[in-house]
Amino acid sequence: MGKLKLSRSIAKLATSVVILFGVHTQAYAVEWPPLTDRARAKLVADQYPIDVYDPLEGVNRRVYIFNAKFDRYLLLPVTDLYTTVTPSFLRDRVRSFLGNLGELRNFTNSTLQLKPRAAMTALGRFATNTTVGIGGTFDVATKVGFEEAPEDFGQTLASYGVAEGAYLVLPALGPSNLRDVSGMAFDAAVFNLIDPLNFSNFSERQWMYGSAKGLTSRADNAFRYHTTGSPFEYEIVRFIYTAKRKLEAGK
Amino acid sequence: MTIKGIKYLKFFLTIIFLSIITSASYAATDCKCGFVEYNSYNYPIDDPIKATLIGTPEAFKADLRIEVPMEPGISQIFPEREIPELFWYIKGLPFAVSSQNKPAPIMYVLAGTGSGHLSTKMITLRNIYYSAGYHVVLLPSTTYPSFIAAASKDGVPGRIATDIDDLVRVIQTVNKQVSKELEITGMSISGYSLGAMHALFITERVERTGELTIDKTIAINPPVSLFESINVLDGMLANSIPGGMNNIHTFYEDIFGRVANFYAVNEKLDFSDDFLYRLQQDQNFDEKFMSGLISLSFRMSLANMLFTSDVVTDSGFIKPKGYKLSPAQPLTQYFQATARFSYEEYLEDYLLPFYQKGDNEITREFLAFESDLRSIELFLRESPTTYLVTNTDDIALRPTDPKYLASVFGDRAILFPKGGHLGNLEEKTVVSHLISIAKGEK
Repeated sequence: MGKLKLSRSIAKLATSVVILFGVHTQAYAVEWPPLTDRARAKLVADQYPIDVYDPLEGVNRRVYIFNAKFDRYLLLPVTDLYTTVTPSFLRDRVRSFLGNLGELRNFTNSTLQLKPRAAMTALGRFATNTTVGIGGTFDVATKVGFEEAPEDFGQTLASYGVAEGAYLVLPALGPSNLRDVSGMAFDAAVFNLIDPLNFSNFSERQWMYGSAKGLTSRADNAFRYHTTGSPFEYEIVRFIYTAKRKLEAGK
Repeated sequence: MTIKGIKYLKFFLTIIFLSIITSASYAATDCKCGFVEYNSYNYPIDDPIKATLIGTPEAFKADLRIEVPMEPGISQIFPEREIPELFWYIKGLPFAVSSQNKPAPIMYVLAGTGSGHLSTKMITLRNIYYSAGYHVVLLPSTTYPSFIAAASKDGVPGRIATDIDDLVRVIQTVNKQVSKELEITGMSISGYSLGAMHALFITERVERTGELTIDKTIAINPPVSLFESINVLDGMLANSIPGGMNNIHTFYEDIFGRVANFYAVNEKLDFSDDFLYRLQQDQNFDEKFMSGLISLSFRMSLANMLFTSDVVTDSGFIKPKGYKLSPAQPLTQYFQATARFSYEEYLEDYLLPFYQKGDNEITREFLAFESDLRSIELFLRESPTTYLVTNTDDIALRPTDPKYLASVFGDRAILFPKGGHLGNLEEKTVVSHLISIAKGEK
């Protein structure tokens, strides 16, 4: 029973992450590198929006650097290969197919957040696209006016008042935070329980699904490391991620 | 701050007011001295601030959807140089080349304040000059962090004389590099905003020294006086933040909130002077908020530039002298502090003392004159191959500047009645004028 084992281990991982980092949420001291008096004199405001709770900044920054290199030397070349050899028609079908499976996540989380309309939308979209949209490969629902309402367990937690917790940079996956990591783990566990692609009997599909998802999301994301031209890119990305998640949770 | 603020506000309002008056009168008089016929020019935005921020609405854009090949390039300007570990990702001076696959003249395009070689405006210019039959090389601004770290001799950008020095060296080096692959029949140069000013100064200099042979120069929306334009930007920021500079974080919050909202729909991160290009289409902005955004994007460029420069030169301005930063250390406080320095402070407290160390005769007045097109006016009047394209309502110009530019460049100038600072760069008439100048039809 691979799927049960997997979801259990994910749940365990999530719990330990929460216990490990979630305890001391407020009291943390950053070892700021020194400023000149002239620069320090400029720090008069008591709050700055660019401040994000980031107690693991040292580790995060190292992972950010790793990700930049990983992206440049592995992820982007592979993604480029994917977009070069695969016609855009085919890539669109893959995107729709994956998006359609995402409706399961949207449905679960809309339900957990007691949003019946969003839950119905997700269900309706899934039903339409799976049948008329030929197994989800065509997003017919959007064309007839039913747009996706993305929801995930990170947003569900947020809607129940769970704070975002420490900012985290995940290897290969990029910016996240404690709440969203737990959310990802939960969503993955649910996905494995429903097992729409029958991973338990066809374990190689899990690998294919993961690759398709990774390639599609990288190909759709215009972000390139160190092209902002700013020495403060880490801070900017951190702020934007946090603000973006706030906005999504507030929807 | 408040007295200064009021002064700036007045100054700024005067600019807008006078620009409207002058542009109206220019349109009315049938002047043959460089003002084009506007029959075909129907750029829709009358407010120069809105124009600067929004750019050209889709329906008014020139059709530049041509396939332009582009290769990234990197050049070692100072092969011996050790770039501080904090900037481990800067491996040299980045640039981009678009090749015609046949013998052709080459166009060097210089970016505006804080912009890299791949900013939206640079890509527009690439398409324009490529359509006109040029090989195109895009170069980042002297104020762009990678340029400061890899290609600036002193590491302190913003002084025209030394910027030009660096750029001539860069163009020579890059040209040698790309000559191996391309068949080049001649060299031309163009740029927008600060890059346009650079292009004009380079042309004047190499004419004297013979370091490069430049066939044609096209300057797009240059400032006349760099220091004055910079004052305008500082003033705009001071005036558009509710509660003044001490309350800037509220405004940051507001802006970043909207930016984040915009990026939630998947956009490229590019914090240069054009990163706001499409943001406004998404949200409704009032006038004050719009000028706040424009000036803040320039302020971000300044923060990037000042911090990079301070680290590269080890000047001890933001971080203590001799202290070495590692890429794993938190920079948030540096960001917070650096973003609070104005252009005025950059000039007065950072740039001026830096250059005075090398030559204590250098005064602010001298630097201001050095960074003013008036200092090369004689050349600009006489040079038959130096062209100007700008707008009479450019917010980086003082009220008298459009007339001055028209008189200096004569029939080599094209002044459009509206478009703000580069807002009309993609407009049909503007693009077709640029192409015909580049092709030599004008």
